[in-house]
Amino acid sequence: MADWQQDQEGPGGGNTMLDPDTKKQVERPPLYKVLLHNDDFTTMEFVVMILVTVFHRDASSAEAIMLAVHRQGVGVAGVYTYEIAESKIKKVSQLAKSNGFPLRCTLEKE
Amino acid sequence: MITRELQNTLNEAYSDALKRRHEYLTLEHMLYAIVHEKTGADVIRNCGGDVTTIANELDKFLEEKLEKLPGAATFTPEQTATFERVVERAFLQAQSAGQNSIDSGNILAAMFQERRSHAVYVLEKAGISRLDVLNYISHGIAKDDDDSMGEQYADEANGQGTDHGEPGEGKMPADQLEAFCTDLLELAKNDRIDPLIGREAEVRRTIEVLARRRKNNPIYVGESGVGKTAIAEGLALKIHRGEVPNILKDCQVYALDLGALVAGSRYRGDFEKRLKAVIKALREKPGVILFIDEIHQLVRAGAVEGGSMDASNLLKPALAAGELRCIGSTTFDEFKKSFEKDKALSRRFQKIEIFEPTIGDTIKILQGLQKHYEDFHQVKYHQEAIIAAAELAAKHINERYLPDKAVDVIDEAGAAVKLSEDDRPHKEVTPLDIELIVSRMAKIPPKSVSGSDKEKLKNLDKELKSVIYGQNHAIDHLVHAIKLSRSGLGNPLKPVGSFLFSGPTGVGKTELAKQLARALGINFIRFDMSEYMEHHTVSRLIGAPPGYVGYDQGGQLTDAINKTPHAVLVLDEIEKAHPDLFNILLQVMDHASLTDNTGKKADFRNVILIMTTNAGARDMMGDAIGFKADDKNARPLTQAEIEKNRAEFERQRKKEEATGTISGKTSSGMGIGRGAIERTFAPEFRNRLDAWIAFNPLSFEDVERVTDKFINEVKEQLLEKEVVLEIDEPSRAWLAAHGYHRQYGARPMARLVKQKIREPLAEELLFGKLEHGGKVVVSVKDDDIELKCFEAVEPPVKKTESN
Repeated sequence: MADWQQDQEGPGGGNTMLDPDTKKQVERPPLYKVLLHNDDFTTMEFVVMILVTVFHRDASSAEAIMLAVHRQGVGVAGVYTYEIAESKIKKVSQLAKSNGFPLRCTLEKE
Repeated sequence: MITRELQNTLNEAYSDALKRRHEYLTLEHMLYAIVHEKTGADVIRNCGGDVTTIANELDKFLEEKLEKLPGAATFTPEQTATFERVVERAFLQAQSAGQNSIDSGNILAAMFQERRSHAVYVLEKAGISRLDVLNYISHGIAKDDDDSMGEQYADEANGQGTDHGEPGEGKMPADQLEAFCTDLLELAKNDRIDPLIGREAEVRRTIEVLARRRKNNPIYVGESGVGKTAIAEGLALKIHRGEVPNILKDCQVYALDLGALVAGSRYRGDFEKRLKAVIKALREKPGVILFIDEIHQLVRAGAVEGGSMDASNLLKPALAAGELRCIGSTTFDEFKKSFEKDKALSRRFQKIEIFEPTIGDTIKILQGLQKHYEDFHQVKYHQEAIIAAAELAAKHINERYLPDKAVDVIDEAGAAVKLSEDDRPHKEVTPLDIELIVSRMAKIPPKSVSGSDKEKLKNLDKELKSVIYGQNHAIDHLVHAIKLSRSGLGNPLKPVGSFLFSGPTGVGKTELAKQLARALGINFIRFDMSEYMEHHTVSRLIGAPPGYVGYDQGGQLTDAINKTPHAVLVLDEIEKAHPDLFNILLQVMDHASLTDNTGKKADFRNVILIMTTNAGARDMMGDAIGFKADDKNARPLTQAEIEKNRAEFERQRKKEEATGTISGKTSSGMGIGRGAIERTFAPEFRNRLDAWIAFNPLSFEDVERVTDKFINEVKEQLLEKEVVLEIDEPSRAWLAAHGYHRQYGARPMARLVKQKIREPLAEELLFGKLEHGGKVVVSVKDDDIELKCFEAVEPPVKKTESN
């Protein structure tokens, strides 16, 4: 899109138009990490529950991720496409809210 | 709001997610379902995407990138937020646009806003943009249409085109060839070219020209339908099969699609740009032959008012240098009208004239194509049918050329037989089918197509004599001449016959010509020469000279003959025509051809030319058969005179019988009429006639037969009204006597019958006794006709019931 802007102000002046034949570089959309953030109120059990039900982790890896959140302040719950990551975050937020926990869940480009 | 199809598609997507054990129903599932649906696949395809590629890619993505739910527990796939957004957006857009329903096109368009979606990535990778989808779903503009425009548009929009290199560079040269040309060898490979039969000389000449060092460009010139395109395609087929000399072995043949070049060239110069690109592509590929059908279109194509640059000028350099080998094809007309005018262009081409094949060659061509049509129509063609198709098409279908029209006939006959309901075990096209098709195509009665000429000729004189009375010698004469011509002993370069009919009015001159045409089943063309009395009107027959009004319209006579070369041509009252007309007729009678103002030749070889004249009739009315040419003839004859007439005829006939010939009578008439004929017509004209036939004045007996004919006509008409006409012998004789007039022939009889019978009856039929049918008795009273009308005894309705 930026190219387009430049082209408009190209050498031909205001009348210069887009050359639609320029090969648009199509980029593969990135995957996204879903991050769980540490806080002092959410219980460890709840985080593990989230990791198991929403992110389908088995008990041990859920434990490990929960500990990572606890120790490093942030833990990667999983890597997904944006669409799925978004849906999972929404689900986590809903669950946290209904249980009265301030658990923060974000996504980050991988 | 959602079309049933889209609903199904969404359900598909859902069950797909379920099947794959995917927790979420994503856009990718939806797209995967959409490309498997008709509307969706259609949109994708028209936006330039390849459905299979997209489907495969999505499948791979769904399998590899989405996690499957572990275990076997039942679950319900959940729609992702993105999914919901897309559907919602599609709804909103449709709603605000006032659309009643949304389909997968709307969904596709709505999808594109999800920039981070893999589904969109897959679409864009396939070259589909949101604009493409929008263009297609709202205007039905497929991407291909748009594409070339975009390219041209862009080149132009760049303004300083030089900065961006040569125009048309955007695409690979090969692409240009693909876009605007058809690869004939490819067609040949796929068996889509019909074989070329015959035409060896033309093909050889083509190859010779193509083998030249420079100006190696043949151009086929020939009438439409003679097979110019077929020769070019046949050459491609020969190259494909390797049946050509080595120098052509590796050649490729492309057919330029001028339509594609012109279509969609919206901006000034687009057309030239495309042509240039094609030429460039051809130059880069050695051994390419470009076939340009209808090459005359190149002249002035893309030219601006006052400008000299047109498509042909772009081609010229390449043509002259021999870099580009080009086969053109055009018709004689167009060649003369536009191609030849561009001398610089036409000198670069070697003209190869393609003539209409003979009937024999056409039969061979049809036999060559036979199998293709048999396979297509699932029928068999009888050998006779093939021959009949060629012969009948040549004879009856005019203004078109062999072999095209003959091929049309067998094609249509095949189709007709294929469609026919009857259960012939092996559907076979017989000559009869061909006859029917030809009669239908030429819009002539089937009877005149079928049956051999021989049969018709054999009974021709009998048939004519049954409708024309008292002119047996004229009929004999005419039939002899026609038989001579048909036997092949006549001169093939002359009309079938040229006759001058002379004789008094009302004796059946024109009628005989008309009946002849009917009996032979050919067209009857009549020109009344009283319309061509002035010098300038003669030009109407052969067309006005250049610069005069009507120059572009062609001549009436030449056009008529071109339309129906098999005809009886009657020039009525020829003595009234302007003398210039005789000069025109001279060459018609001599060489059977007439050239119109545009140089088109009309072929008179199958024409029976009949000219009628009254010249000499007055002389012939003279005393040859024993009457005085006095004023008695101007009034109805008295009874005594009638008796005298009868006696006189009788005497005359006896004399003829004694001399043994009927022609005695003829020659006596001719002898007298000759003076007038010779005065009226120049010797060179008379000299070219096959025969001058003098018609006799109607004899008394003839008139009686004519009387019967007229009375029968009235009877027929009255029968329709449920009225029976009874006429006694004296009345018949009275009518014959009073209706007969030596100078006027049979026409007074028609008037008399009208006056004495028809007119009185009209009143009765409408309002009188005969309103509901009845009976009329005709008798003579006080030397006049008396009509007695009787009402129907019973009402006619009951009568029919009792019957």
